[in-house]
Amino acid sequence: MSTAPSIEHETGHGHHAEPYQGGVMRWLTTTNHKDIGTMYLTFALIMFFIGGAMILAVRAELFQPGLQLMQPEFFNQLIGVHALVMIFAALMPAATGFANWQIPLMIGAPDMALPRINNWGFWLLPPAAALLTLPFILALFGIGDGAVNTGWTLYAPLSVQGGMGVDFAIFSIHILGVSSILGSINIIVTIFNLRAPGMTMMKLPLFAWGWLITAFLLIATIPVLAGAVTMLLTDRHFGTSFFNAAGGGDPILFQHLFWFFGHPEVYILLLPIWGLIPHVLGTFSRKPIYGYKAQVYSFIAIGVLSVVVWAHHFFTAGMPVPALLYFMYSTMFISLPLAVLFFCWVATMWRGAMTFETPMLFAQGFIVLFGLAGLTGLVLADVAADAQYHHSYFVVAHFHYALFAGGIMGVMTGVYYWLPKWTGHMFSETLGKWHFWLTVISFNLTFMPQFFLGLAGMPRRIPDYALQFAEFNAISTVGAFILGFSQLIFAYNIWKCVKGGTKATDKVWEGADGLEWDLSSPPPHHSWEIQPVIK
Amino acid sequence: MGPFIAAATSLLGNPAGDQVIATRQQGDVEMDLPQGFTPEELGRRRAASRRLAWILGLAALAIYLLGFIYYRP
Amino acid sequence: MKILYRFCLRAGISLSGLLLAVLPSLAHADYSWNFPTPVTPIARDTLEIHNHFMIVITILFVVVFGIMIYSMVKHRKSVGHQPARFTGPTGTVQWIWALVPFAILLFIDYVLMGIPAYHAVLDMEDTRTKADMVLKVTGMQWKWQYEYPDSGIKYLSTTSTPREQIANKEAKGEHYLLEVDNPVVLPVGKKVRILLTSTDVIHTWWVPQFGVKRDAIPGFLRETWVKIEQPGTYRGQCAELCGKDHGFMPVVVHAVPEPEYLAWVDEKKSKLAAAAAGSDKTWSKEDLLAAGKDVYEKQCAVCHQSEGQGLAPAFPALAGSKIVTGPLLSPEGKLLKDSHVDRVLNGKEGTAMQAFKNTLSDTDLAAVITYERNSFGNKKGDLIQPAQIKSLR
Repeated sequence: MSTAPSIEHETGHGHHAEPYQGGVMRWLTTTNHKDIGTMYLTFALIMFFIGGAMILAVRAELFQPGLQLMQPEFFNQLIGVHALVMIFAALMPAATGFANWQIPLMIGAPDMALPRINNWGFWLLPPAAALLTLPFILALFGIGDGAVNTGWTLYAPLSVQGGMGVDFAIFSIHILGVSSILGSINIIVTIFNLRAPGMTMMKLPLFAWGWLITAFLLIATIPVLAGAVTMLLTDRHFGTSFFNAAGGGDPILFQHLFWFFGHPEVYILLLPIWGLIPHVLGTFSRKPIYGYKAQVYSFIAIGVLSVVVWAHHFFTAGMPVPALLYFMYSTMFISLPLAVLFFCWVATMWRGAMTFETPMLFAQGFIVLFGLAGLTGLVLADVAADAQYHHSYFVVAHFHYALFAGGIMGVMTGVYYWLPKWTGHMFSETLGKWHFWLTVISFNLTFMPQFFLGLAGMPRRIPDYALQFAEFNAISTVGAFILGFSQLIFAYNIWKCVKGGTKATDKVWEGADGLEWDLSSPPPHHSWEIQPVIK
Repeated sequence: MGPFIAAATSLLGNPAGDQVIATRQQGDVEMDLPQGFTPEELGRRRAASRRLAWILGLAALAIYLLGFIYYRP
Repeated sequence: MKILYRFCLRAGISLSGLLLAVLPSLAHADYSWNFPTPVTPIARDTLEIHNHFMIVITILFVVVFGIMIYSMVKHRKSVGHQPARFTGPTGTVQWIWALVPFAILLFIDYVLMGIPAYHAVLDMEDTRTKADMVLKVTGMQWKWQYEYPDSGIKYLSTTSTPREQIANKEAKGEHYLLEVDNPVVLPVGKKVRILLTSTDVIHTWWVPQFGVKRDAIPGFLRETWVKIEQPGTYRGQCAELCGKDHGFMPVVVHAVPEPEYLAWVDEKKSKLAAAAAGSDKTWSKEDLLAAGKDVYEKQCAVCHQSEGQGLAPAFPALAGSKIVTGPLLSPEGKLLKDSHVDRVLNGKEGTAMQAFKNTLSDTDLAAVITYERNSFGNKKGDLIQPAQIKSLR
């Protein structure tokens, strides 16, 4: 069975279900993977709302032509910080929260291999988030001219020109990067060394595989981003000319360095989701996962390919024809392993016995909407057509389908799936369904018109627009507000579930399969004190 | 990098080797109360984790520093 | 609650079904759902590629999610379906089912779309074969400068939408945000090689109906080309975030038959010569101030604001500025480093203050410097003549 036996550890701690201390100190000093996972997830949820509030202000300005609510300088700050917050302070911490909670439970490990690094990895995040948002507040007091206003991509030479907001962003990115690297190291060594006896690599749950590839990608690419922003810092303050033609440098070098990180980054955001979706599909179809090996090899293939396609983000910067052709064809190649994943997801459901609880709804909504992202990504790879799509709202729509419908809805899938295990209570299925439908409908209302805005010729990152773009912008804004406020249902549901609710069984879901479902809900403070043995 | 992982990790095999004795079947998880890792084994694994962690951290640092040394020919 | 839920579920499914059914027709529909009317060979190619792609991905979407929706309806617990146990393809038929989609996708990627893409790229990048003329585009914060090297014409093109319209104090004109004072004029039916660069940060020149978009990068020269097939006025915008007025630097191109184009070239040449001639005569202070106010509103007020109060800390105030109220020239009449004249002529490196000697005429420079020294509460009383500016270049 599941709960820890009543025998003593050789270490002499004795068996107990309570943490050592209470209050603030518990959270500051905890090295328990479940506590740290909870902190990551809570932080992510809060930052999700902060990033969301920023973009609602942006969409309010874009509701009508003309400048109604803010000046372009402030608008430029909001769009950039929105992206940085959503990517680095919401999606990545949420995925790391999942990793912390679930990987040890799923592989039968007592905890992460490096518990203290785990704690540091989390506590680096709040200062980093503060650094990112502090310039807004300083500007209110007349110090500096606000937060970074170059968009999250920080292109030189605009970022060399920018005010102190850029410096704050650079330091914030360095700290966020260190946090990600520490987390990635921890995940890799935990998966390699602490799998329960009998769990070979090809028995590793897909969620762990997804995170394993993610962790390697992070270690390979975050240093490159760190290098790029360090060079930006020295160009700004120490007289270097990495990105200044007059000094012998090249602005496009920044784009190469940034996107060398930036493209793998989007798979970093998505691989953990691709790892958890099959678990959910299998559970609610009451069927084993289809194509486990194929999915593992696809994760690896996508991971490797992601590192060699970066220039498709700046086809219009002017590069030799062989480079254009190479990056186009290599980018298109990624559609193949991705198609493997879609095939396996549908095949997992095929001839199952499906029920449609909230996690399943989100998983299926993810498949459909992320599918749209993937298909529009394919057309973006075409260099000639990209001349029209690049830096237009078509791209904005594409990546929101990928990162909201893919990333965020994937996170919501995981939260609804595992919340009863973490809290010991079932959440309100009614609220969950309302959240799902409101989210899906308003999401499409927000972003589908943006595809057409891009086709009609509307560029990105503009605070005001020509009259022919007015109708679709208005619709998009209405959708955005519904989308934003619908997320309050999610927060309320989570809070309610943490407080109480129908008691959750160990297995929670009828078709659930995996080591985590053999522990109690919630699991004991020390998860697998005695490791299970896998046959 | 990917195929490298798959090849390398297939060498990792079954972590507990032949420590498995009498067991009770329950799905594909078997709870074997005195089994699992002994504290020495866990200690060894944690040490291995620390070593690999240092290597990975140094690799990350090396990539970062490489950028300042490498010049386009 | 359950009834409401089921109703919403069915409505949602029918709506999505409806949308899916309508999707294919959208590819061929009215151009507000698609690219605007193409007027160059590249734009036509691109539109065709896009339409084909849209049809292909719509079919893929409908087929795959049709299968998924079928499964969601048929293979559910509530109708009593028993779950299967398979985890991979077993037998030849299933392997074919699994592998054929990848063969199809490979074909779509590298043959169906891949081959036309190859030709389109080569065509798009071929800027030199049989080019009839050259247009040089220089991006600046926040305007474009156009140069016709063969004809010796150079001028600035700035947005002409009044600030009152942007601030919602006046009704917006038809070409709100897509109108300029000095548009580009190009001949129809001629291949124009377009060279691009920038004086400060990266901008991007984009005219959707031409199907071309190319970055303007400081310190580098980029190229693209257009061959406009129909006369008309074509509008586009800067497509790379370049600072606060990124959304306010439109591109307007008048494409006209060649005789009209040549007539325009002559007219523009004489206009520019007349403006330059003004630099040889001696100007009165009143004339300099009046001309200077015009230049200031168009070129300087966007950052330094209309009363010279600036926008701290990025854009310093001119009112009471030490530089503006400092000495005009050295006692020998030479340029003083970091003086007012130096700033306006040569800009300030590392900031958005550009070297206006590259874009403004001697007359404009003399006028705006005089204006700034005698406005916003500044009372220097001095003035500078266009001829002096000319000698300082």
